[in-house]
Amino acid sequence: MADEKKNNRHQLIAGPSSRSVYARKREIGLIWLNRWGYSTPKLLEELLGLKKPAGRYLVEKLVKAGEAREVFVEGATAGYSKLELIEGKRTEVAPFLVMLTEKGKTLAQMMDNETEGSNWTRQLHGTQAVKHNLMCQYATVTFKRKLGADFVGYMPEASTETESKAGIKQPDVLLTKRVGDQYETIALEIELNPKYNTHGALDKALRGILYALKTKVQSAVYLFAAGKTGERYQAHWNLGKIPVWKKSAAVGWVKDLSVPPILIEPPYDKALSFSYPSWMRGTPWK
Amino acid sequence: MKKLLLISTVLLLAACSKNVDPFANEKCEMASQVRIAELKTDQLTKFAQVKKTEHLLCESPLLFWKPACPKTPASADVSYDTKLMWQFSLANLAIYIVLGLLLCFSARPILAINELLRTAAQRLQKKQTSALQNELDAIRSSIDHARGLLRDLTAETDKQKDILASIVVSQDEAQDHRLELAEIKKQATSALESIKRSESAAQASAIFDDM
Repeated sequence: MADEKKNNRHQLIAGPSSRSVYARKREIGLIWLNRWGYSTPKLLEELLGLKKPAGRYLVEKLVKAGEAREVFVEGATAGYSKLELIEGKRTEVAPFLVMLTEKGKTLAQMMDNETEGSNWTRQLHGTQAVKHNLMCQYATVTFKRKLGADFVGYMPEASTETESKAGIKQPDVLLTKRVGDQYETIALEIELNPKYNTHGALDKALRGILYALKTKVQSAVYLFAAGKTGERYQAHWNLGKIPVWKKSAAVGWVKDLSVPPILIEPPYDKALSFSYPSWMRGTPWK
Repeated sequence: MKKLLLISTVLLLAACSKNVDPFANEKCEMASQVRIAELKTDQLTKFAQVKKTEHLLCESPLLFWKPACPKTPASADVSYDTKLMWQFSLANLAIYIVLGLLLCFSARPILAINELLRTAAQRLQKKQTSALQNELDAIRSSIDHARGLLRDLTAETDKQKDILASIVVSQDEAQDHRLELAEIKKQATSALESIKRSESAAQASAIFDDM
C-alpha cells in the first residue's frame, strides 16, 4: 500500500518541471520575437499553446525581466490592445506590440542558430507593414498548430533579405514540414493590397515565387485578402511566362524586351496555389 | 760349157783390167753412202706421208675405226699415204657394212622389244592414268564436297549476316525504345514531381483555408 502511494507520487512528479517548461517556452518566444521583430501576446499564446491570459502573463514576465518591451503603434488595427485595470476592470487602452530589448535580443541570438534576427527599425515603418507581418505570423502559428509534430521550422522574410542579390523578391515566410522521412519547404506569400502590373509589381512578385520554387521550395501558397487581386495574380501566372522589367531613368519601370520572358514550365506551373481565406480580411492576431 | 765359162771369165778379166781405177773403192763407198742417204730420205718421206694420212684420218668424223692422232703435225708439203688411206677406208667400210648387216638382222628383235616396251609403257601409262584418274576423281569429289561446304558456309554466313543485321536493327529499335522510355520516364518523373508539388500546394492551401 505504501509502495503504491510512493509510485503514484513519483508519477505525479515525473516529466519536466514547470520551471524547465517555462524556460523552453520562453526560449521559443524569444526566438519568435527575434525572427519576426515583434509580435502580440495572442500570437505568442497560440505559438506556445497557452490558454488565453497566459500570453499576456508571459509578456509581462519578459518585460519585468527586461528582455522585452511594449511598443505602442499608431492605429488601432495593428497591434494588441493594452489592458489596464480601470475601476477594477481590465480595459483595452491602446494597441501595443511586444518587441525584444537589447538584452532579450542578445539572449535570443544565443539561442537561435539559424538566423541573426530581423531588422526592427525596418519592420515598423507603417501600419500596413505591421499588419502584413502579423498576418504572416498568424499564418505560421496556425500552420504549426495544424501540423503538430510534423512542423519543423519557419523562416520569415524579415529574418533574411527581402530581395536576393539579383533583385529577386524572397517569399514572405518559408515553412518546413516533415513528410515521412523527408522535409518539405513551402513558400508563403501574403498579399493584403491590390497590386497592379503598371510598374511590373505583379510580375516581380510572381518571378520571386518562381525563383523560390526553382531553388529552395517544393510548393508555394499565395494568400489574398481580396478575391479579385488573387484572380488577377492567377491569370498572370496562367499565362505561362513572366516578362522581365528594367528601371528606366526617364519613365521608371518598363518591360525589358531585349530579354526573353521567363517561362513557367512543369513541374513549377502547378506548384503554386492561390487562396482567399476569410481571416485575411480580419485581425486574427488580436 | 767350159768354153763359155772361160770366155766370160776372160771377158770379165779384160773388162776389169781395162777399167782399173785407183779411186774405185772410194767411189763405191760414196755411192753406197748416197744410196743409204737416198734410202733414208725415202723412209722419212714415207714416214711423213703416213703421219699426215694418220692426221687426216684421225680427224675424220665418218670413220668408226681410226688411228690415234699423232702428237706432232706432219708437214704440209708431203703427200698423203694413199695405201694407208685406202686401208682405213676399206676397214671402216667393212665395219659399216657389218654394222649395217647387224642392224638389218637385229631389226626384228628390236622391234619386238620395242613392241614389248611399248606395251609395257602403255600398261604402265594406263595404270598411271587410271591412278591419276582415280586421284583426279577423288580431288574432284573433294572439291565438290568443299564447294558444298563453302556453299553451306556462305549460306550460313548470309544467315548470320541477316541475323546480325536484324540484331543491329533490333538494337537500334531497342535504343530508340530506350530513349523513348527515358523520355517517358523523364516526363513521368516531371509529371510525378508536378503532381507532388501540386498536392503539396493544395494541402498547404487547405491548411490556410481551414483557419
